[in-house]
Amino acid sequence: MTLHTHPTDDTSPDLQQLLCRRNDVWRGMAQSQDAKPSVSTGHDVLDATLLNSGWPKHSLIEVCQGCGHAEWQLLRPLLAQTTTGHVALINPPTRPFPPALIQMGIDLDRLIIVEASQKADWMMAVLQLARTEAFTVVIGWQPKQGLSYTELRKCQLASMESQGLLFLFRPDSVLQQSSPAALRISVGVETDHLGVTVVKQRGLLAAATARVQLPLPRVWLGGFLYHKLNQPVLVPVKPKRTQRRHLRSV
Amino acid sequence: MDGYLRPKREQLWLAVRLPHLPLDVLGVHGDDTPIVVAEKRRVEVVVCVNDAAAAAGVTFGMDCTKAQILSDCSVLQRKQPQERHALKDIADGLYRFSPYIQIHDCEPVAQAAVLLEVSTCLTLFGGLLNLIEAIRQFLNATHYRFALGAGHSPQAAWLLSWTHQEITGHDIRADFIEQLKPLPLNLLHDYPDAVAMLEKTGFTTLGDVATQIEGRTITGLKKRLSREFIGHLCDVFGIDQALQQKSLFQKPVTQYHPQEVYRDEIEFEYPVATTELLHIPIETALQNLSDHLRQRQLECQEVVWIFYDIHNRTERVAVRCDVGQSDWRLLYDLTLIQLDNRALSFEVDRMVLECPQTTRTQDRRQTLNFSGLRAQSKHQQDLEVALAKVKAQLGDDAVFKMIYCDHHVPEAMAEAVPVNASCTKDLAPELATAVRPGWLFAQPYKAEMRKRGIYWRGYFELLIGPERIHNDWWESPRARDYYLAQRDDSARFWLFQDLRDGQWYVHGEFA
Repeated sequence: MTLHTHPTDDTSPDLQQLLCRRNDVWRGMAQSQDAKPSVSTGHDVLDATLLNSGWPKHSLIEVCQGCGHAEWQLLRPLLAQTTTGHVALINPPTRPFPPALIQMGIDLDRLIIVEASQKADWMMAVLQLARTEAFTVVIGWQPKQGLSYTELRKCQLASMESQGLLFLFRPDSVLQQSSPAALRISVGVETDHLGVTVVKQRGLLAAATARVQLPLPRVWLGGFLYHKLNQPVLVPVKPKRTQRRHLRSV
Repeated sequence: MDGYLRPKREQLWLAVRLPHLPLDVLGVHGDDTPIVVAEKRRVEVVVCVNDAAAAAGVTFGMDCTKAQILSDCSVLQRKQPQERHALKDIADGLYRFSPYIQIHDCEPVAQAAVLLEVSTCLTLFGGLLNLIEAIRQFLNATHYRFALGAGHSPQAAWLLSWTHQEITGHDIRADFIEQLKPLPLNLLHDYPDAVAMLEKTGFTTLGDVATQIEGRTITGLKKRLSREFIGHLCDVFGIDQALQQKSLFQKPVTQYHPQEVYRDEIEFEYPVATTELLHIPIETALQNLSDHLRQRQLECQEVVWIFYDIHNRTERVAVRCDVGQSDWRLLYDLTLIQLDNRALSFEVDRMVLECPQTTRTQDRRQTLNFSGLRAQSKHQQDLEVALAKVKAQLGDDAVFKMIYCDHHVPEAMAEAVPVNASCTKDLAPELATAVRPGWLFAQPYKAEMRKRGIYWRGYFELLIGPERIHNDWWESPRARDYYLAQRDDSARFWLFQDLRDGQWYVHGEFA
């Protein structure tokens, strides 16, 4: 049987062209870095490390942190520059302290908090608010029950439908688990800086992790403690220089 | 039609006084056994008596114990919400006779009246007497006992309802004033202090007061009595306070608007077992409601679904949203969310949709769209829809925002408020450079003082401080020294030492 085929039309794209048009297809070592919409992080050194120089839109951004929390220091510039739309905090670890937020320049009128301790409620809230155009930033803290890959995938899909940013704060212990998030970073508070490690960025090879240091506020580094005023100050005593008398030889 | 022409612009008021309303709402109609209704004022006193109790000597204001000793009566507690509801029902019923209705509640004597302005309705009903007869027939069909009075002002009609007034249908203002004159002053129940003062100075009837006003001026009374009481007297007699003569203009009468409760019922051909099968009838019912609201320029914030089975068992589902809606779509989504979260306990045979309260659309502030605010209003709508859906699932308390309150004590500086509330953006000047953590714990955690130092999930090193914070002397005493401290793992916390007991606490975290 002879298969008659029509001559190929010169205007129809071939497979290579079709693949190149999409920026969500993995093509092995041949990675192309198409420009994606992003929002500046507010930290120049972090912007320089991230693809597209900022937080990627339409993507799930996973932030893993240890015992210490660093949410406000990491996101303060972003939230301070958010003048349109609302910011949602879903299941935060505790309630934010308004005087500190006002000092950071964050508009409390636009900050909405949703308390959802049950996983099903948490998922509903994240998916609903992430898809709402009115929210430019949605920040969620993983519920105690943890999140499966499927649930993370749902969050990722919701972020693709959103017009804003979707952050998910999780504990450090999940770094070893795989995640569909487009950007995964690990954050840790150090003595004199905030360490940010970019663990995964969609569009970069897995080995290309980067670590940056963000400065901490001056007051966090400490100052003079007033209660030590009454304590004796130990002044180191310089050893006396013994003068050797050189005996002249007679 | 009686052929008598009332002077134009002269108001004519009818008072329907309900002397036994506290008893009637409790279903007490028989007079065989002494029954009283009591209320706690300074002590438990009698506020309403039936005929049997009155015959035994029980009077209004008598102590309950004394009343029981006197007449061995049964004492019932007064139910004021039911009385208000009954008054509203009667007012709604009397709306068929006049659109100008007021409700007068005389709390000192626990009596109330519905007042109707009927001067514009006489032609329709063929005269005042026919109108009164129609009102009597309507009221007799209810189980409320009543007394009628007519007057040139609502206050006059109320006072004349206490007398055995013979309403002729021809009375004008001057006639009503003459009828008021012999009435004792103690009928002015709302002003006991003013009445006591007048009685001390020799006034006993309203006629004495009228003579004083007509013969001299009202200025003398104004000096001795409250402005409110003088205003009431002027309303009774139709006197203009400023001009001290017969008022040239009538007080405008506000129109009564009976509450309309929307109700729609759908009966199924066969009992419905699953909530999925209810989706289409719910959508239909809500579309009908939406048409009803749009035609009347109304909106609602709550609808109630009532499900019935074949045995008339009911289940109610209330659906609420923050902002008034006249479109059916959001109410439909919220209803489905509510139904998804609950399973019906029976098969639904009949479904009723009620909309208990509506508001006018014009009452809501509208933003004038001069400069591209349409996108903002769409965002606002999206926000409201999203938050309504989240609240329907999690409850109203789960969605809120934090505001700053100007206070010394940290835990009093933060308050959770509904999303629609506005919040201040200005800090007190002394807080502009103060060290404050991003997270404040709901309750401070107690830290231990060990050999090596302060310990709470790790040892602390104090970095900055102390900052002394204490509250005002008239509140419960609190004095604390706050520090910014660094823990072993470099996390920064806000610690304080309570100066009263020396205990250390962890109050917040710098994040």
